Amino acid sequence: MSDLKHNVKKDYPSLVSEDLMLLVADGDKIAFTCLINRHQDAVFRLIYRFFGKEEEANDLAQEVFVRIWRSSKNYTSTSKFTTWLYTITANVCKSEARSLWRRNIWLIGSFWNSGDNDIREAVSPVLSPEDAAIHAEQNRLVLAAIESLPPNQRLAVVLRRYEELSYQEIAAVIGCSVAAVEALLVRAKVNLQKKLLPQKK
Amino acid sequence: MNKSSPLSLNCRTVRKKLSAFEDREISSALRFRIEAHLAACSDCQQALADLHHLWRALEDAIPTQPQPDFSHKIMRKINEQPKPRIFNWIRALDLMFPAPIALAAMVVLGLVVGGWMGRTAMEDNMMVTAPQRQSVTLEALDVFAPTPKGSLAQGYLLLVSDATQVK
Repeated sequence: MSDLKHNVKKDYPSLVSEDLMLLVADGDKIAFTCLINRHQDAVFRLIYRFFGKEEEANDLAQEVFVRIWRSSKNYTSTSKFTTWLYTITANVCKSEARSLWRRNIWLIGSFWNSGDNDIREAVSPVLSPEDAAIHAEQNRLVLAAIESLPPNQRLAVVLRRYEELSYQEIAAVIGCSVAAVEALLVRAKVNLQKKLLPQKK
Repeated sequence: MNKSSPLSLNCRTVRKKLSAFEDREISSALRFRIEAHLAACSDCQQALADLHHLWRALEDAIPTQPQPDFSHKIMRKINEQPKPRIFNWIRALDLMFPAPIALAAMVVLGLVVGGWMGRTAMEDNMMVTAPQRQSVTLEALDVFAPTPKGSLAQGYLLLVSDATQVK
């Protein structure tokens, strides 16, 4: 790492995220921009799947990176950067989900929002309008089913299914044992089966 | 599934481990035992197929991406001078009283206010004099009569009685 710090001309894109993070801890904003560009999609996807709202996902993903910058001194090179990143993202999601104000505002908003949130239709140029509508409806159902799960089950499913984390990594992110992750996923899958599979039959 | 050997698993145990089995998160020894069970148990095979089906059903394409100026917004927030910390009462209340407690508090408040209003109304009612109260009670009981006041039946009776008096 000392080589990294003293090397005047750094090839940022070639550095692994852990090394970039150590530079960020020294106040290197170029390294931080590089980290944002590398991980913004993953953070956004996780939050979007957690809340199902684009605006919320953008705001909270920004909040995650601001927290990373502010707590960069706490990062230790022994821990994997993505685990640390997902832990901060999970904490932001859980604290937001607990917020009484957020729930109240959404409850009031749902009266004139017709319950569709802002889940957009993914219109693909390849699909016909009918297929695109079916696809968008399926996306909406999947997001709504995931959103109906309790926060920890939701996190476990999203981290496993979409981010492809191992049980060990999910346990580190959520802050529980591997056995607890297994139990969370079993319960989450049962709940999702009840919501999604009857409609498919 | 009949137990064929001491190492064989029953359906209940297999179902508990099926999710981890599908995620390839179990030891090879347990995987081998589950595979042996699945080869002989059609119900558990179906349960595994349902899990596969669910995992495929969760396939989705996120139609949105972070905003184009995402990193610029973050850098702007970071470059802003840190504002002096002001104690946020709303946030503190929010943390102190999560939704279930707030709802319970609202229910208790509703009961207290409702009880107080009911008591006040009762006191007002007590101020009514005894004959007034008696007439109100008799009028209320009139609804059980065969020809209540103001009903069609009563109107008919009055008409008939008037007609007979004229004769």
